[in-house]
Amino acid sequence: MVLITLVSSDEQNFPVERELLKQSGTIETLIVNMNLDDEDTDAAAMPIPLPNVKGDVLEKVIQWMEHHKGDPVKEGDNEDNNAEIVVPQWDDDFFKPAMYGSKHLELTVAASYLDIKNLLTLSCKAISNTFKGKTGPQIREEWGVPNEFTPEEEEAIRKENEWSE
Amino acid sequence: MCMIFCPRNKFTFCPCKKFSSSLFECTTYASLHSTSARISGILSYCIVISSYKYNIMDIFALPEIFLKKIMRTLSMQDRASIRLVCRAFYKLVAGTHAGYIARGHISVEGFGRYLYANIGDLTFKPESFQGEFSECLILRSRLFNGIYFGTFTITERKLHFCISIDLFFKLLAAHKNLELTNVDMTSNDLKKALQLISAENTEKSVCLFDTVTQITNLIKSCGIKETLDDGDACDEFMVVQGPRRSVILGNYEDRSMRLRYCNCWIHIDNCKWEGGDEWSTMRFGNGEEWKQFPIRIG
Repeated sequence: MVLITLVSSDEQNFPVERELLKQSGTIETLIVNMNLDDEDTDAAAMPIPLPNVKGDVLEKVIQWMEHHKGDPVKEGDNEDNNAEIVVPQWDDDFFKPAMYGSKHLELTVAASYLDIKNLLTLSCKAISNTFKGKTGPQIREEWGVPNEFTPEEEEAIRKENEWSE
Repeated sequence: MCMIFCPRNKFTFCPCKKFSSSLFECTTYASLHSTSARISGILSYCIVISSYKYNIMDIFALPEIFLKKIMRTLSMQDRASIRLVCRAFYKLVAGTHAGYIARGHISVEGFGRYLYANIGDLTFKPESFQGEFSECLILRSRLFNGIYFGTFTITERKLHFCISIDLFFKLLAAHKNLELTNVDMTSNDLKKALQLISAENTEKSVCLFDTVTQITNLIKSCGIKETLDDGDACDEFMVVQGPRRSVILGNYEDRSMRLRYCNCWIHIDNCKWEGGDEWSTMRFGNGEEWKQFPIRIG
């Protein structure tokens, strides 16, 4: 089993199975460019620095990739109908503990930086699921957003929303 | 201890529902009820909640590209609801290309008095518009300015209401596939629309529903006549296949007609030269629509 070492921004080393890294477009490109797949290259001696990802976030990303090992890698960015995307139970449980915390934000940004499309899509969907079926004030309370609207503005938006069913 | 800090808004608040909004409210409540035995229980609850939500994510710290991605995963109903969260969401829903919706539909019913509108899963109540078509479009614009429709349809079966040519060209510029009833269109307008669609790099199509008389008069005004044969040209139009008569009986076996203009195909399903009050459909576009209308043999 070939291991590739990823180095986080806080200099933590993570030896990761080569196969898992196919899910990350960014790392896959680096592996190709650094010839790490060549038999003559000593992959273990050439760690890949990831200066934009902290160790604790990278650990979560690797955990996610391990679970999704062998999943088809999403190509392109066709998101026309992704209101119907369902977050699988495992992923829901994976995201839930950090959902309202800054760690989830960092995970989402890391997924984008590492070009892990499935993780990014599911992460965004997990956030949007927290809005599902809720009212504005409920979302404000959950996400710690103050009410910026005047009562008149709020009433006007409410009236517009009442027009739809 | 029961407060948490919101990094975006630089204020502290209590997350528990008893003290719903601000530090001021929370401390005021606490000072007024300090002798109450209940307060300690509430504060304990707050501590648990605040530890859960401590270091709360500032969702607006996410770059806009992520926020748009999040929007795309929301249903239209939920997008409407989150407008009430804050101005940033209000603007995000209205002013960004928040996502693709397969169908948008407006229909005029009840002798032109009511407009029914659908945007994805969102249905607007008919009494809202009282026949004010522009009001409906303004609302759609304010709610979901950047939404991209697979097909946008306006239907009006009773012909109480006519889509102006200015509105037609606005809709044509904004949508990939249009389905419209009763458009007030001249031959020059049709040619202009065909030229615009021909010049498009992406696929675009229009479907016009109207009476046979209206559609036939429109193509007659472009110079297309009954006497033209397949392959004949008139101005920049070319007859690909005209309506077919039975050789023996002389009656029409097939009333459909195909034309070409620049890079556009044109298909009319019920081309009666003598006119008529029944419905006819005229489709035109620049894509691979020929596959849907295979050429007749014979």
